Amino acid sequence: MLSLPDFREKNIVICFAAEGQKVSFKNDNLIIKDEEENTVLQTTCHKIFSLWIAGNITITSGILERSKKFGFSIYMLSHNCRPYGLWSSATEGNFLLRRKQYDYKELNIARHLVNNKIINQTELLKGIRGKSQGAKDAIDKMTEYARQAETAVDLQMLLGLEGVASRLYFSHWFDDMEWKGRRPRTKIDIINTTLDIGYTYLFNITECMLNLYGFDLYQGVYHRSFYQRKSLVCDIVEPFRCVIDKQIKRAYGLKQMQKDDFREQKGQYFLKIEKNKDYTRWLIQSLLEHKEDMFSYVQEYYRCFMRRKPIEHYPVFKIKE
Amino acid sequence: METYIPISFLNDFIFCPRSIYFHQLYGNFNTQIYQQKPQIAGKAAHSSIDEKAYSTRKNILQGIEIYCEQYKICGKVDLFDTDSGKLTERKRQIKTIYDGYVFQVYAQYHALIEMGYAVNSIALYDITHNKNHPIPLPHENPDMQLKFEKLIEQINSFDMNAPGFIPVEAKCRNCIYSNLCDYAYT
Repeated sequence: MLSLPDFREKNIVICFAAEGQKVSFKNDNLIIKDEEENTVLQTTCHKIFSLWIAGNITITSGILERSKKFGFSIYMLSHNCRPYGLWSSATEGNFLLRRKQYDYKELNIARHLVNNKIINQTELLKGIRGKSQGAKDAIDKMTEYARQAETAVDLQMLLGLEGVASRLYFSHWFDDMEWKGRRPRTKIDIINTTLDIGYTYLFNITECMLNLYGFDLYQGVYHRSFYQRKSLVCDIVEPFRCVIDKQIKRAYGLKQMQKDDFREQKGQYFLKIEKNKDYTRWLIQSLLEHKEDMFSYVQEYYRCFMRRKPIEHYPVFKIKE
Repeated sequence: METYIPISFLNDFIFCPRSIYFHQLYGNFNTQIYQQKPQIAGKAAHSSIDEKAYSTRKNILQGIEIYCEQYKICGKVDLFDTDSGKLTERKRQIKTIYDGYVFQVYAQYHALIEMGYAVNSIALYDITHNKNHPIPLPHENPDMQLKFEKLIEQINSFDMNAPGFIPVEAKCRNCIYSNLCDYAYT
């Protein structure tokens, strides 16, 4: 089983096949070469946590075999980084964990997750310099929402609190950036498009983490089972979403994110393919800065869940301003 | 994570709530593996929209992604004319205007309104017979709007394991997922 010291040494390797990069192996090293056959990256398989391949590529049985041997997952992404396939190293035989998942019918973990998420959103708002009175009021309200989430009597109330808190938070967090409101998948502005991309990366990394223990990803504690939605991944990303929010605001301020990087088509903004690499780099970077936090969080969550510990033992992720 | 109901679920859920589960199991399979003639023909009718090749006019939005926060619905608009405010959903052939068709355009309507567009009229367009079927706007037909909201609630609370599911034989016989379904008529 992967330990934290082991995990510290691990990396997510991304291959941009769209740029002509190729993946190969030599002994137990993964090698990525560019169009001119120059080695872009060479790393031992022992150091790979997950391999992400964006674009079309030929994968050999050797790669698949090594992924099983060294326990790293392989994500297949389209040119525009939409995940369409996963070759996983899940510990799928952990039936004890899965049985506990199916038997769990309470709301305490959901309350805990939502509370954690709202507190992190509030922390980000607190970090805004020269806050408006509106932002100050929002902080007060959100602090109250977080408190209410801890004692929410049912799922509907919890969903309501999360929704109202998120709306309030977004309206102040992105208020200096032509923000029209969060609209997933609609690509109505460059922030929404970039949030979709960032949240997808967060989702993928979280999925890799949960796969280390053999969770049934479709069985959530907050997001209820809904056809083939990976509800547990949706749950666990909640406290971490603010990492992406923070990075996008930062990138916008540093001019790493500009309207010219997007192709506008009848009111929808699509990231230009040649910009995929840049955006992927700074979005993933923000997540990797928290990779140890995420690893420890998921590991602690697993242990608490397996041993049915009281909710105060469950992990909390605190965003640092 | 933001969660939502895909617009396509509305009609599918009315047909059979269990069919969505089995459809999702096929995930990203090539549709030829499980689709039959009616689905293939329907998809072909939509191809110009999916490829955004129906019109190059600026005022015609085709295949744009939409999201409705009020009902947590996500999907695509078939055709929307921003000048006239006309929302059109194209169907290969319309023999009956099923509730599912109406709910799909209602979902699109609510999303467009939320996104700041003015929707003045809705129509279902029968490609085979080149015929428009006007649909009253949601506020012009409160009963239908109420049914639409109830459907959203039913989808959100649906439990595959809930006892008492009664299959409809006529639907089962035409269901492309019957080989997977434990309730199917054999």
